This record gives sequence, structure tokens and C-alpha cells, in this order.
Amino acid sequence: MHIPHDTKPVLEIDRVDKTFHVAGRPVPALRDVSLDVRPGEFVAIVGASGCGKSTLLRLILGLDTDYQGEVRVDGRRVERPGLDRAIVFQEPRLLPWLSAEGNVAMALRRSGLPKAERRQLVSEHLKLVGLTAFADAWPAQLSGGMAQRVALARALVNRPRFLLMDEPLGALDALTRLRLH
Amino acid sequence: MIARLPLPPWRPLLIPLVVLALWELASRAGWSDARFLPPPETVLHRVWFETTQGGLATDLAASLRRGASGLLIGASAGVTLGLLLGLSRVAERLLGPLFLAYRQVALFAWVPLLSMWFGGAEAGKIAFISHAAMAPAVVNTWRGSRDIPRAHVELAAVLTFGRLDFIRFVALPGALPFVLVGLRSSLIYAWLATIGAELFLNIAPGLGGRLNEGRETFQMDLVLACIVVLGALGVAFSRVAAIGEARLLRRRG
Repeated sequence: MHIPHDTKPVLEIDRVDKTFHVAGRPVPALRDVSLDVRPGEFVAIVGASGCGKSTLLRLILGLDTDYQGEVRVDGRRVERPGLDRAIVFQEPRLLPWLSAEGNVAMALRRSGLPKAERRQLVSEHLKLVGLTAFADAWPAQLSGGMAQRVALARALVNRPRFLLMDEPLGALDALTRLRLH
Repeated sequence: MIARLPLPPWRPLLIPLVVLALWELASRAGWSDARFLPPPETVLHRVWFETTQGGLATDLAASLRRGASGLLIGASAGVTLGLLLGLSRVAERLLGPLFLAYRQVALFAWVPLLSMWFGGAEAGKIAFISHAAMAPAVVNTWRGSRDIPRAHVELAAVLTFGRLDFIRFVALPGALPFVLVGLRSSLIYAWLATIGAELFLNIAPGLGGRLNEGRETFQMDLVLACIVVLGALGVAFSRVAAIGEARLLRRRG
């Protein structure tokens, strides 16, 4: 896909430093990280385990605002999480007391959409990940791959501008991985 | 290898039956004074009589209503306070030690104070029952809600949940197994306090009142009949609570 270079970046990571303090000692997680993302771009961050990939995603989400430098969306500093940025975590993180459908619907709690529309969106997205038949299943009844697909539906249901994925297929078997790609 | 004796299905009843037989034997053989320990059949007959012709149904209803009111007030206050302690570090630091100290005071030590504040009539009784039902609900809800997995806290943050949604969809369901354990104790404590309140505070219809009446008019069969009914109710309560608990937690893997 051709991306014209004069398009302004929608996501800017500007000279970000993040240091954790483990047992009183500073452990740098990110050092001078800069990155621009333009509309329609697909960015993959590759690196060994523990190199700070998840940390960077947490900063973009606004889960952690204690760092040097700046993460900006549309030129404005990210202060808190927002529905414009969705994530699929490494593990599904479904709420075990809600059905697959209920878990997807959770993402729409703050969408402000009317009930009928929410229901419609939830069922569309369950269909998208091929789990219509499992709408009423509890997370404990789903396989790891199915649970991660529910998590993907949950991330997509708000039609976010940014879809962050933190090694979402890491825990899946090769076959499921192939299908989801 | 030593062969095991086959266990008959009525095994849980074995000891009670032995006790019952001894009791019967003691009455028949004249080892016990029937004025202090009437024979089982007299007691059972009294239970039957009180249920069918006496006012036991009215008393039972009065006690149950009282217990249920106290349980409802105490348990809801307890769950609320428990959530506050579990979810707010500030509240935990300010109120936690105070609550732990308060818990060390024996339940019945509050009777004089509560009866001065609320009187010895219905309000005082319900205040005491609520008070008894509250503590277990607080402790368990507190414990259950203070260690919500970080993964769930982050998820709620990413979905931009407000405080109320967080409590409703994440904290409370997450703490539910603990909350239910607490509510089960609350139920037991409320029932205990119901009888206690009826014994120590003003006379009013209720099982505790009947117990008092039996003691004061020297009708030991009435006293023992009340105790039998209380025991049966206790078993019924814990059964219902266990079934309710299993239902509520059934879906989780």
C-alpha cells in the first residue's frame, strides 16, 4: 500500500524514556524511542522478550503516564486510556463471570450507543471472529484460541482508530495462528 | 489389609440416634428428672402441638422477619463497607485498624449500648441483628476485593470504566466467592443474634420469647421444642446457602 509521505502522523512517540524501579534500582525499559505512525500504516515492533514492547504499548494506551518524552495522538499528549485505542493483550483477559457475548459487550459500556445498536455490533463482531455459535459460552468453556478471538472482537467492536496487539498470537497453536493471520 | 466396615447411608444420623436412645433410656429408667429433662416423645409431641395448634408459626414468622430485616441491613452495609476498605487504600488505612479493633469486642457487649440508643423494642432488636450480621460481610468482602488481579484493573481502565462500572462488572463479581462466604456467616450470625435479641431485650413474639416463656413457666418441653426447631432451621439455612452459592458460582471454571 502506498502511503503519501506528506500525511501527518496520527500517533507520535517522541523521544520516550521509561525507567522502572526494581527493588530500589533503576531498570531502563525504553530509551530515546521515537516513532511516527501515519493513517493506514501497520507497524510491527519486533524484539526479544523483555525489551520493552509491552511497556511502549502501555504508554500508548495511557495506562502509564509516568515517563519522559511524549506520546501524542493527533498532536495531543496521551493522558489516559480512550476508546480510540484498543488492545488485544498477550492473554485473553476475559472476565470469567461474563459470557463471550458479555465480554465483547463490556467494551461498549462507554460508547454511548443505544442498546439495540450495541447488540448488533456485538453479534457482528462475534461473527467476524467466527464465534457466533459460542456467544453464550463462558470463558472457562472456550479454548485458548477461541478466548483470544473473543478478545479480538472486544478490541474491534468500538471500531478503534488504533488496534494494539501485544503478541496476541503468542499463546496460540500454529494452526489457529495461521487462520487468524 | 483390614477390611473396612461398609458405611451405611444413614451414618451421619448414627450419633444423634445414639444420643436420642440414651435420652429415652435415661427417661425410662428414671435416671433423669422429667421436670428438667422431659423424655423425647414429650418434646416431639410439644413440637407437633405448637406447630399445629400453638402459636409456633406466628413466633417463627416474627423471628424470621426480624432476622431477615437485620440480615438485609447488616449485610448490605457490610458489603458496602468491605468494598470501601478493599478498593480504597485511604479508607483501608483510616478505617481498617478501627474496624479490626471493633471486631474484637464481643458481640453481646453491644447489647446495653444498642438498647439505650434504639430501645428494647423492634428497632433495638433489628439494630443488634444488623450489627451482628455486618462484621463477617465486611471482613470477607474486604479480603475479596483488595486483591483484584492487575490484569482486570487494566482491562477496566482500557475500556474507560468509571468507578461504578468497575465495582459492578469487575470488583464485585471478582470478590463474589469471598462475599458469599461472608454472607453465609452473616446469615448464621444474624440468626444467632435474633434469638439473642429476643432473649435479652423486650419480650415480643418470636422463638426467643417462647424459650423465655418456657424457662419462666418451667415448661422444659417447650424449651427443648424450641431448641429442636432452631436446630432444624439452622440445618435448612446452611443447605439453602450452600445451594445458592453453588448456583451463583456455577459458570466459572
